Amino acid sequence: MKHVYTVAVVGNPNVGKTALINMLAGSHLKIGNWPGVTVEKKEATLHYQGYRLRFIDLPGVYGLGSVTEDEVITNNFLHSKDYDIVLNVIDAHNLKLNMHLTSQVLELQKPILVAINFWKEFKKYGNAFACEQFASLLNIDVLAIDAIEKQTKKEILDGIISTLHAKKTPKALGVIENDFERKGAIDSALQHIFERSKNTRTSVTDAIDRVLLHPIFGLVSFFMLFYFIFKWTFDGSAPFIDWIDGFFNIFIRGGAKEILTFIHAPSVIQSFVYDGLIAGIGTVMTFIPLMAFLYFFISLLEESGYIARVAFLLDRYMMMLGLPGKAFIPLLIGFGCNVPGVYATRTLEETHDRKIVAAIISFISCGAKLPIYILFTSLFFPRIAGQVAAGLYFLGMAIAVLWALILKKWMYRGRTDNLIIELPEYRLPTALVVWNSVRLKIKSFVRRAGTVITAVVILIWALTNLPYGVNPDKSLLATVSKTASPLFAPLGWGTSWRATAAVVPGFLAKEAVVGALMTTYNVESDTPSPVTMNILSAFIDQLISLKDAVIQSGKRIITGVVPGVFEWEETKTPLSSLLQRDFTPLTALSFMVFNLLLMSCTAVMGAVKQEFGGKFLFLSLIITGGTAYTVSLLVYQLGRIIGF
Amino acid sequence: MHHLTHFPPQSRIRINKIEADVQVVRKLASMGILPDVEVEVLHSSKKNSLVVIKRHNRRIVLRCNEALAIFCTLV
Repeated sequence: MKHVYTVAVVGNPNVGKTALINMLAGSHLKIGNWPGVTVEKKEATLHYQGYRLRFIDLPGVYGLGSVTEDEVITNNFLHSKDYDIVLNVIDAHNLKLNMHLTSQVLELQKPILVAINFWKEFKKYGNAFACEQFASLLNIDVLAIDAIEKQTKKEILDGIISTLHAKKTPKALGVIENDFERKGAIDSALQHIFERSKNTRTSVTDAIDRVLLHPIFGLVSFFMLFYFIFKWTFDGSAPFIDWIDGFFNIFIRGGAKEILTFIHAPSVIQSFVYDGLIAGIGTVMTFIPLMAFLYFFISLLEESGYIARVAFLLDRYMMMLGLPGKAFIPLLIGFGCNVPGVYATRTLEETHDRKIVAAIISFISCGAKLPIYILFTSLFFPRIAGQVAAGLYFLGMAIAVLWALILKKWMYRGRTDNLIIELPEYRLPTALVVWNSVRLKIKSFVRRAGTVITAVVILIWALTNLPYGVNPDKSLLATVSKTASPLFAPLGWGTSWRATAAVVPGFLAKEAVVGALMTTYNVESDTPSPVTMNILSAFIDQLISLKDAVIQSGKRIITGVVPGVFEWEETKTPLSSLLQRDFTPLTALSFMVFNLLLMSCTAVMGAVKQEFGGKFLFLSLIITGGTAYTVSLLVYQLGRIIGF
Repeated sequence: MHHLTHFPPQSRIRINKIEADVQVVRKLASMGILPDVEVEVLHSSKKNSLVVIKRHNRRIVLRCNEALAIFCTLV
């Protein structure tokens, strides 16, 4: 049996710990260029020279005096001594400052391998550090590395094995009673070991910050940046969305027909495949390009170091809500997915601030809700689809602000914590990291489509067809949904049993709302049966149209020439006619608002329960459910009064 | 000796004392901000705004409240 060694990876925030683990273990843990990316203990394992190495990626800390939840995780783990070796990653650019943590880790008396990252750049500027002298002074092992270099993997893994075998006990810097003494001890230890060059790095970061942190230009840049992110996301993804739509509706449906006809499949199976599986999953898959574009731009922001600046820019405004500026980071993460957003509240020091952010995060529209907006806005607001979608995002944010004020005033009073954050250096995002980030999120989306959404689609299709042969309006699903419909009738869309039926799967995953809707409508629609085709030539056609989509997308982003800002073309299909029969623009808006404000999915519920307990989850469900119902009701009833 | 907020951007200052609560003092110390160190002011504060200081290559944002607890002299 292989010997298992546990390696605790520690370091200051943003020194490249997670990137190093990903490189060593071939894992894909989330990385980013802002303090607080890793807020929980994560693991990656690899086998090397007959050993099994278990890397524990701990949240970045500056010292072992814990304040925030993520710091407590690191502190508790290190003091548990439930590991064999510490891999202490140090940023060479801030070598002396990183030693504060190193000096505390030395006191734990566990074998340590210190890895000084960004070594080449450190040397390039004429800095000097005598690694061997430092290692022998403290009885530890030291490596100078560049995490992105290929040979680093072998150096680190050999280093870990060698340190483990040597069984060295580190020497502490002495008996240290306070931080002042610690600084003195570090200065004295590094006196003849570390020489800082006078040639400091040309501060590109400081120059950029003069603009991006400016009270006026900074905010203008922030809003411009987010405007273009959304514009490019919608414009750039539109040709790909059309392509995937064609791919499923023509190629996959056609291919399925070829196969099912060949094997003489019964009509019920054919209906299930065409109207259930392909319609439901195909529609959800259509939104992959949109997600990919959005995640791509968010990854660029995360990698560049801009995210921490957002906390700086918005602190003044977040303070008005009684929240610290860094509370904006979990909310920003929430735009991608609410689940990591809930966990990211761990970077906040005060529990009451954490609870407020967790309670309002569901009002931040996550990527999974986007397919609902696109389906309805393109049908009911074709000329102003983008503006309506953007309006929904802003509505969600406005409701979040309102609830933050309410909760702060009446429930979670208390001093808002101090704001002490580090602004990282700007870095050029690396293609590999961005690619991995987008790939993993899309993979997770596809996995959900392949599991939860497929299950929902199958269930919805079955319930819409039971008892077999009956009209969908008299099916089991219709009967059950019609019972619940009166509850939603005041919201406008409750009169459609299909809309009521689609809301429930939305609790499992918001993407399932669209899948469920499409399945119920497709069963009834007279969507033409797929035509017989030559699979090879159809495949070639798909490749050609994919090439056209790439060109179109590039043109739209580079030249900005699109049919209109955030404008989608209205296409009439049998399905869209059915949707337009059951919904009006007002009821569609009410339906979108309801889904926007309802808690995103069971995964978010799980995260909230794990972090804050069952009582708080119940409160959050009351808040989000009540708000979703009330605002949706107001939208519909006020809309009717003003004759919308 | 003045509060940190007193100094304009690009000033090089020496921290003399920090009169904040223990958690803030410890957090600042762990980030390398403690008495007797020199820092550069990158952004200085108007009321209710933020201060950014830089020590070596580390840029640290402080809210006005914390900055008011840090007393410094110009180098």
